[in-house]
Amino acid sequence: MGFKVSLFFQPHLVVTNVSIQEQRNPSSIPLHPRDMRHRCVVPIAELDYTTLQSLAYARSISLHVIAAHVAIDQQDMQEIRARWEHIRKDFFSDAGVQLVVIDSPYRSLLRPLLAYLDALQEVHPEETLTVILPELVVAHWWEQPLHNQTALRLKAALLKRPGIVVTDIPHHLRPGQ
Amino acid sequence: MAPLPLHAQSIHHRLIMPIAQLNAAAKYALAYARSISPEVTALHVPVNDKEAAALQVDWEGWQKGLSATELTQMEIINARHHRPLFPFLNTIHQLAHKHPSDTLTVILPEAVESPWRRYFSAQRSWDSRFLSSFSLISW
Repeated sequence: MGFKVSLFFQPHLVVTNVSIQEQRNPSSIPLHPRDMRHRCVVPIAELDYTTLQSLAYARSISLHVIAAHVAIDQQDMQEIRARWEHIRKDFFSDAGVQLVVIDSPYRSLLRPLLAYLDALQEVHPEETLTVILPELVVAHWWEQPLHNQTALRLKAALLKRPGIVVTDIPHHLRPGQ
Repeated sequence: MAPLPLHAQSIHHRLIMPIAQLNAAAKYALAYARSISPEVTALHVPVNDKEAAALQVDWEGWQKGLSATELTQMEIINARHHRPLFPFLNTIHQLAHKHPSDTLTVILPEAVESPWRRYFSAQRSWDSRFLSSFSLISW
């Protein structure tokens, strides 16, 4: 654990957690790069600069990237769709990145997203699913609890699910940002 | 190191992975890393000579199966009497310095036992469990 905590404080270092479950049928575990079928999910709150960086990283390792947004109401849903249409021509012209809006009538962010990931794994059991999370690196350690609680809770939930690869991309917050 | 590019084509990947032994978890993590880039460095900081020698033999056998275009390699860093974390971070910094425009990703392999198996083996292997959690802490 101490090892991971120290990596957390390294700037500009992407950290990926790859886990396998011991009981999983060994022959179904891809041990060669050509057998690796990547699919990446990037949970997004909005489409800002850091989100685009994460999506570019995801796209560079997979042809199947899903920007997953959990929408808490109709307005939220329309706004993200409109913004997506606006930027997709400039950044994601090849259909390798898709926006998926997950409806959450009860305003819960975590559960609908986890249910969506479970469904993806069930539909594509042969694929390696990577979830890419932003790691907000704050300028001062005392700011840490102010940011990113949802991402931390999501990460804790994901690390309990073997078979899902979890990647942290650091994003630096400057003072006053 | 440069910030992440906004376009996938501009990203040049380089991966680095700590390795203790060449088990299924490590081979899976290596396959994951190699599917992203041919430039993968596995790093081993030996706890004892015997373990390092065994890993070296396993690695050489495994590496024979790779194609000639693959640049995957293992480095063994001798740094006994130190905590392995520091030589590891050192190597990362050296790589970042040498390849400033690359995107460096650290791959952490992990074997997760299923809860049932953990329950049944708890009594029997308490000692080894203690040792393995201890080695995780000392990383």
